[in-house]
This record gives sequence, structure tokens and C-alpha cells, in this order.
Amino acid sequence: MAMLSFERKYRVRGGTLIGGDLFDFWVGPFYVGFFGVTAVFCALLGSLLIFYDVSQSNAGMNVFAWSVNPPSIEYGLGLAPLDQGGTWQLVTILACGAFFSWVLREIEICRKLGIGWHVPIAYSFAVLAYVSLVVIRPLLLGAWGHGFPYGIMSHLDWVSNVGYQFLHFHYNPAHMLAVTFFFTTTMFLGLHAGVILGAVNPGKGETVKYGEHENAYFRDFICYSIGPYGIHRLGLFFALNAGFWSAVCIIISGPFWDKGWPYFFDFYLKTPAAIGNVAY
Amino acid sequence: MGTYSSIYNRIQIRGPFDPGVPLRNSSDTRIQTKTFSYWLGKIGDPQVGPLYLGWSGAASLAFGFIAIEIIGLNMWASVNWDPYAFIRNLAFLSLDPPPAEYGLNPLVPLGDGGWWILAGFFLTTSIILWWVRSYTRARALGMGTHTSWAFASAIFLYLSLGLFRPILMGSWSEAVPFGIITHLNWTASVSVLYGNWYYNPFHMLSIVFLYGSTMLFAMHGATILAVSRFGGEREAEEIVDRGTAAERGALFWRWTMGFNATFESIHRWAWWFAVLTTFTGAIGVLLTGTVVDNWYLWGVKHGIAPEYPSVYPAYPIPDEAVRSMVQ
Amino acid sequence: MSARYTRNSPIIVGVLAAALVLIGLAVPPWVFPPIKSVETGPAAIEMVQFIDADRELPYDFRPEPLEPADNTDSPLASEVYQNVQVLGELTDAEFTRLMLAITEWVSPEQGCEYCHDLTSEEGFASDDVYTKVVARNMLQMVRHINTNWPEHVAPSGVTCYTCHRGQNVPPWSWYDQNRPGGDQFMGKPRPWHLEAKTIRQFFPTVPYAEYLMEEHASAQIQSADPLVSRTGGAEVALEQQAEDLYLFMMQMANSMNVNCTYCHNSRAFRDWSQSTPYRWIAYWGIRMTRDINSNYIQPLASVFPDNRLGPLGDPAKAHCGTCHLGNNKPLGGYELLDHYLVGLTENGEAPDPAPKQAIILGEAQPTAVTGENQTAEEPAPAPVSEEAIEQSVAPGEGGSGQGDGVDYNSQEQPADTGGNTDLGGTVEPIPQDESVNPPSSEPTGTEAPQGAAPSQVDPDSPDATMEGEGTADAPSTGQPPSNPLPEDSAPARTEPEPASGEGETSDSAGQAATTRGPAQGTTTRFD
Repeated sequence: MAMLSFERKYRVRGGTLIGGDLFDFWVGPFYVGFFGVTAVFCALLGSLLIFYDVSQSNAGMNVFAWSVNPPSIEYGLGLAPLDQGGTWQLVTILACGAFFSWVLREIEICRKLGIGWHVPIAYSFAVLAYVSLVVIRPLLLGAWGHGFPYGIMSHLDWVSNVGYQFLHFHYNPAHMLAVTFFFTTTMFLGLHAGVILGAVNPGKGETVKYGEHENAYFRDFICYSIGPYGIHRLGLFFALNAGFWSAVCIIISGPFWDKGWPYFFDFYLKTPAAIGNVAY
Repeated sequence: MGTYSSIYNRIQIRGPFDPGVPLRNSSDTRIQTKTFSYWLGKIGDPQVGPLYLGWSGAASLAFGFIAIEIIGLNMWASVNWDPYAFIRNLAFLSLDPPPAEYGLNPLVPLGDGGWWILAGFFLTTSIILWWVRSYTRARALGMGTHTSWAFASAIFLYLSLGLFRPILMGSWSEAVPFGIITHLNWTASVSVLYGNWYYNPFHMLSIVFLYGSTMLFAMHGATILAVSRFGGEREAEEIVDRGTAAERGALFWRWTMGFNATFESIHRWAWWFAVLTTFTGAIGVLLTGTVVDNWYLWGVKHGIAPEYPSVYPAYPIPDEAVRSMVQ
Repeated sequence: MSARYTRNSPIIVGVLAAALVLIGLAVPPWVFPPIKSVETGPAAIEMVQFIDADRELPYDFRPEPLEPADNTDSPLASEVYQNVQVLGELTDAEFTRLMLAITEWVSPEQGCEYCHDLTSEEGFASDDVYTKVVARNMLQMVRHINTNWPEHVAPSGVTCYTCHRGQNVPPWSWYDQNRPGGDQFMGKPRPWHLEAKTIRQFFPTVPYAEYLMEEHASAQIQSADPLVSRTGGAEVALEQQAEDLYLFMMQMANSMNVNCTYCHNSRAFRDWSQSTPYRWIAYWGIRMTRDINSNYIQPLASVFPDNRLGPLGDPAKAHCGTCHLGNNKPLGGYELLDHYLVGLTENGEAPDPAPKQAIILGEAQPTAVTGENQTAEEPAPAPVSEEAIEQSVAPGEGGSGQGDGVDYNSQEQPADTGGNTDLGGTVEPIPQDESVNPPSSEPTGTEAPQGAAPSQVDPDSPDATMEGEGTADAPSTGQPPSNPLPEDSAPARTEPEPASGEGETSDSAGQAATTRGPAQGTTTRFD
């Protein structure tokens, strides 16, 4: 059995959200549950559709060129023929199904283990970012064709074009925030991982260090140690903000702003009282 | 902990000021600030300090101060020393590297980029001294130096942008200006200039690790908060002597995705993701213009660029455009 | 103690956050769906133009053409007037009609005296007022454009109104600016116009001078080789060059309310095979602008008075926005020129659409469109499928082919506005809405040319050069910034029904626009 030495006592019944004890069992290391079944169903069917769609293109075995493309915007919010982007629409539905199932399945596992729902809540931010790209923004713009293609290079081409649709995407204020959160989260991660590894891997002949030394290190180094609880909260907060502001920055691009982002700052130059639009 | 404090601390505990564990091999003593901050206590530990300054810290702060002053005063000078204009336009002000005609000449007139060289020198010295400090502080506490090497990876990216690549290209003008908007303009221009930065495989990797780092911190932070009612935030203790918090955290991921890290190995994953973000980014920067001139065409050359249907009939390209493409 | 804080801090933080969110939502000029989108490339990679369905373009009023002149027995203008250097071949009736139209387009407030010093002995013939010299030059420029730049301006062509829009000075223009130099200890000239009132003015104009004059920089900034050449020679431009080109291209896109993907697939900007035909049109537009800036506008530097010159002593020059003013086709392709062909072209013929059509096959067309009512916005063709493009490839398949490979119909009949008798045959300027053409003065404030001196951007600040200026154009110094249209002014949006006989000009959508060419002649043609 793929079970850890301490695992057996944790494998208890109950905690499911729906279905009672239906599917309340494990397969190898995986917990199944009702939502595990729906997730696997959606993921498998979605993957098969992706492979079907790719097989209809002439990309061959060039993985980088594989792409499941959304329909042209001329189909608006309607369904497109399968070979014109309809597969993309099905894949998107199934992907959403799989992601939502995954969130619910994580909640069931949290309930089984008696731990907080922080992970499913955090994961739902990532799902939100995905849904923003392929559902919310296309809905606001009135065509599924505004979703991104599912392909390694094609999604980069999409990102590139969307960036240049607003001439200079770095001027998008929400994008600025999101990037800042991404970089800062990564910096925090490096600092946190570094200090934990440094404490428990102090080198030959040294004893392992604990929280006292971790605190002392950051106080000596940068005058403040946020503490073991605080750093995880801060890291989670920054990571979720990275995802959240990413979603915001793409939702406002198009539905709520239709010009180049540099020209957004017209209002800054035109606001007399706030910034004193005076001659000098 | 009977209840979660997932957003902020609802209860602050104020013990006596912690003077810190004894230091080894240190010339100075700590500056005992004896300060508590109510607002910092909201998000973490309310205690501020004590701080160890030492020679490297003092020198680093001094050099950093000089660098910031050079940048700030140059920006202020560029609006004719108008304090109001300085604040209003701060985001747009800039201290630019010397133009291309100076090459790598270190003696550039101050007004023409010399200040940029000076600021870069002082800032780099400051950062490197700060790195020294990250190393000596860890050793003084008898800890490993993992933080220092993660920091070194970030410094490597900084130096690649501002020093190594300009040297390889033979001109200071290749470097990034100091300025909020102007460094964004630099980024966008360089992406266009070298074909398409998205096709730079090291940029792809760097983004993967950047997003991966953020995802890992979300996963890790959320897991620790979720098991905090079992004392999961005391990670070093759990690493050495596994408790139920570590077991539940591990089992959550095992049951969710069939695989789990341990309390120690998750930090190794995290460390590598964070380090590789800047390291791969730096490699991508160093290859641009020195080895690869057009990343899009590099992608075409290696067959990774997808094809899209042509939606327009072919039309002749203006002669002049064709000529200059061939040349 | 801590109990009190725990109740307060969430409120403080909450109020601050709510205030920030509120400011972020309320202050910037957000637009709201529905957003019209036009796909200009293959599906899936988002080569799409967005424009808010409620977007109001500045200066979008379309003047109606004047009554056709009655040329019967009308003598030539050169026989009636002295000093008619450009339009002498026109009949007197036609000449008068054109002069009245120009007055309406350029100086509706000041009237004839904006250019003609009627107090002088020579009367209309006097060249004493500088504006007359400028106007003559600009007239030659318009004729030159319409006859020699069909690649860019066909089929609608340009008139004085294309740029002037009822203003003495075209609303969007630019002045030269020094590139930041290094000859000072500190305090280099800054790259931005920090006095700017809009972002459009804020960006430096150095890139325009680089790309919009005949002595221009190369736009070939990218390398055609993936790898660095073995000889070590630079194959890419300098970073500063890329930044300048970027700024220039942003100006171009913003001038037309389109984005980079209107012409380019951004993954390979330089690649013509991945670009849209719009790039071809823009390519000639850049060259046309170089031509007129260098050969028609810059030479006027000695003619203009100081207050019409920029800080470096150059006249306000044209960029893409000078004509386009936020529209991908100036005035939505309104074919005003058709009514003034004899005066505003060199050969009396409308700009030849053949080169453009031979390349673009009809017109450069978006591949798909969402949103409603896009045909009212501009006389753009309806969405076409690939099949439709293929059909248009073959001349004659539309049933209207001439067999010469150029597929368009000339207008069957001369434009006949005779049905409209309101004007009673007299040739008079058409009364216009006050709000559309307010009293015109030197463009200041948000309408000041890019690169203008601070005194022009901030007209309230004292400026010696503007004091005591007595010419007809000169605004009093204390006048409020002119020109900006009220944001909600309805007349700007209304698309006047074109004169009868030209009724299909802007309203007929779809195939009509693709198969119908410009008018081949009007009643005003002089033979």
C-alpha cells in the first residue's frame, strides 16, 4: 500500500460534502471522493479533447506548436463548430469543472484531516485568475474568442498581442501591482526557505537551530523578524494578491479600458486639485 | 491555537524585549532597540530589533544612502529643483546610463551618465556589503548560509542587467536606467528590439519559476496556516521531531495530488524555485544581444513557433521595406 | 488596552481600503461594456481592436458640402482676381465656393479676414497677412497629397477640414524638442513634457522628428538573423532607438484609436508576411507625412510669427493624429473631397484607389466583428469571411468588374445636390452648431501641440510673445483654452446625413462599400 507509516490512523470515514460515504475511499495515495470522480472525469475527457483537437491540426509531434484555439470572435457568445473553436469551448467547460471539483475535493480532505480551509481558498484564487481569462473577460467583451489558446507557444503569442493591444502593458496599474506582488512573494519565499534550511542545516558540528535563532537572524539582518506564523500569513497574502491583481489587470484590459495603458494616466495630469496641475 | 488568525493577529502578546541569542565572531554588539510596534504586531511579531549593524552593515547603509542621494538629486535637478514637481513626477523621472558613444569608458561626464555610473557603483557596493552581512550574520548564529546564496542569485540578475551584459555588449548604454517608468520603457523596448522576449527560453523558465514560487508560497503558507491549530508554524521543531501538524500537512497533499513534500523538503523546493527565478532570468539577459539577436527567429529556427492561418491575401511588400530586410 | 485596539484597527484599515478602492473606481475615466471589437488577424491570438461603443471622438463633426457652383458663363478666377497663384484655372463661381468652404473649415469665426487684409489697397490680392501665404502653401499641399499619395489617402482624399476641423490651427500637431543632452553638470533637459496636460503631450517628440521628416532614422531595429553575426557587427539598433520607435508607434496607434495588432502580429513586428494590409497603408502614410512635413510645413518656418512657432523655432508639424484625430479613417472616411475635386487636387480627379485596391483588394477588412451598430461608427465593410476575401481576389466576380483587375465602380452619376434647395442656390457657409466650432485661438492647454512651450500649455501664465499680437488669428491672452469639445456634446457624435445624391457615402454598409469607388466627377468639375 502506498501508505506512510503514520497514515493509517488518519484514514477515517466522513467529512464529505455530498454523497455520504459514496466514493469515500483511497486509491493508492489519492483520496477519491465524489469530487475526485468528477475531477477525473473532466480532466480525462478534457485531455482527450485536447489530443483530438491537436490531432486535427498539422502540428504533428511538435509539442510547442500544439494548440487548442478558441473560436473567432465572429461567433460571439455562441457555440462554434468543433473544428472552429468548439473544442476549445468544451475543453474550457471541462477545465472549469475539473478546477471547481478540485477545490471541493480539497475542502473534503481538509475536513477529514481537521485542518483549516486555507489551501482550497488559496487555490480558488488561481482558479479565479483562470476563469477571469477564459470566462469573465470574454463574457464582458461579448465573444468567447477573447479567451486564450491552450498551447505552449500560442498562449505566449496571445499574451504578446494582448499586451500590445494596450500599447505598453506595463503601464497597467493593476499589472504593476500584480508584478510587484509576484516578485515580492518570490523574495519572501527565498528568505523564508533560506532561513529554515539554514536553521536545520547549520553545517558540520553545529546543533540544529530553532525559532529563537530564526528570529535573531532576521532581527540582526534587517531589524525585524515577522515570526513563524507571520511569514506564512504574509507569504500567502502576497501570493494571493499576485493572483488577484493579475485577474484584475486582465479584466480591466478591454472591458473597462480600450486605449493604450499609457494614456490611462491622462486623468493624473488632468486632476487639478489632487496633484496641483500648475505651471512651474 | 484554538482559532485561526488568518488575516491578522487579534491578540498581541507582549513579553519582555528579546535581546537575541548570543553572537559569535562578531566585533560589535547588537543595538538593543527595545521597541515594539503595535501595527507590526498586527501582521507578525510586534518586536522591532535588536539590530546588529557591524562594519558591513554601516558601510552598506552609507553606500546605499549615497546611491539613493545621487539618483534622487539628479531627478530633482531635472525638474529645476522644484520640490513639488519632483514629487508629482517622481514616477517619470530617471537617471539614465551614458549614451552609446561612450562605450565602456568609466570616465563619462557627470551630466551625461557619469552620475549613473557613480550611482551604480555605490548601489552595487552597498548591495554586496549587504550580502556580506547576510553571510556573516548567519555564521555568527551558527546557522547555514542558505539565505545568502538565494540573495546572491538575485544579485546575479541585478549585475547581469547593469554590469555583466553592458560589459559583454561593450557599452554602458545597454544598461537599465534608474527610474520607475523608464525602467519599464527599457523593458518593453528591449523585448521588441531583440525579436520577442516571450520566445526567450530562459525568460520562459524564469516566468515558470516566478509563478511557481508564488504558487509554492501559496501552497506552503496555506498549509502551515491550516495546521497552525496543531502548532505547525514551528517548522524547525516539526522537521526534527515530526508532530501531527506535519503529518496532517503531508497527508493533505498526498491525498490531494498523490505526492507530498516534508516540512524540510518543501523549503528545498521553495529555495530552488526562488533561486532559479532570478538565475534563469539572468542567463536569458546575458544571452540577449551577445548570442541571440532575435528570439522570435531563434524560435522559428528551432521549429517551436506555431503557424496561424493567413487571413489576408498576399500583397506585395513596399520595395524599400524589402530592400532593408535583405541587406 | 489591546481590547480597544482590536476593535478599532479593522475599521481604520477597512475605511482606508474602501477609500482607495473608491478613488480607483471613481477617478480614472473607465469605460464600460459593451466594447466593440474588430478582429484583424487569425482567430485565437487576439489581434483585435477594442473601442468603447460610447466612445466620442474629438472634432467628429462632418460639414456638409456647399451647393455646387453654377459654372455657366463664369469667367476664370484669374481673370476676375489679382494674385491668384494656385487656383487661377477655376471658374469664378467655383473659386468663390471653394474660398467659402475653406473659410468654414479653417476660420469660421474670423471669416475672410483671417487671411485677407481687406483694409489694404490691394484688398483680396494682398499677401500681407502671413496666414494667406500659409494658406496658399497648404492649398498646394492638399492638392499634392490628393494627387500624389493615393496609396494612403484614396478614396476619400483630404481637404483642409481633414486636419483643421474648424480650427485655425489643426488640433493635434507637434513641435521639435531637444534630445536630452549631456552638456550640463546636473539638470539635463528631461525627456518628458512635465507641463503636459495630457499623456499625448507628455511623451517626447524627438521620435517624431526622427521618423516624420525626410531625413529619417531607420525603423529596421530588429535583426533578421536569429543569432549574433560572427563578425560581431551590430545587427540590432541601439536600445534608445528602439525606445524612440516605440514612442513613435504608440503615437501612431493612439492617433487612430487602434493598437499594435491593427497592423502587426506582435510576435514578429518586422515580418510583413504576418502583418495585415493596414500596415501597407500606414507605411505610405508615414512617407506621406515625411513629404509634407519636410516640403510644405517646415519651409514655412520663416513665414509664421513667433507665437506660431515651437520652442525651437519650427512650425507645428503633422503626425498621424493631425488628420486622424482618433479615427482609423479621418472623419470615418467621409468623402468631402469629392465635392471640391477641381480646387483641391492637381488634376481634378479623386485620389486613384487603384494602387490601394490592387494591393488590399477592395479595402483592408477586419476578419470579424462583434458588437452592434459598427457600420454606423464608420463606413467599414461588414465582416467578411475568408471566402469573401477570395471572391474579392478575382476581379469581376462581384459582377462589377471592369476587367482591368481593379474592382470598383465609379459613381454612375455626378453628385447632384440640387434636390436640396434650402440654400436657394446662393453659396453660403453652412451654419454650424456653436459648440462644434467655438471661437478658435491658438491651441492651448490640452490641445497645445506636443512639444509646445510651457506658456502655451499653460496659457494663464504670462508670456511676452503673446502680448499685443494684433493679427486676426490672435486670441487675447486671457482667453480660456479653446477647442476642447464638451465631452458630452451631442453634435459631435451626430453623423450628418450627407448631401442627397451622396446618401450612400457613409451609411451603406457591406458590399456597397467594397464595390463602389470614389466619385469620378462632380458638378464642380471644371473642364
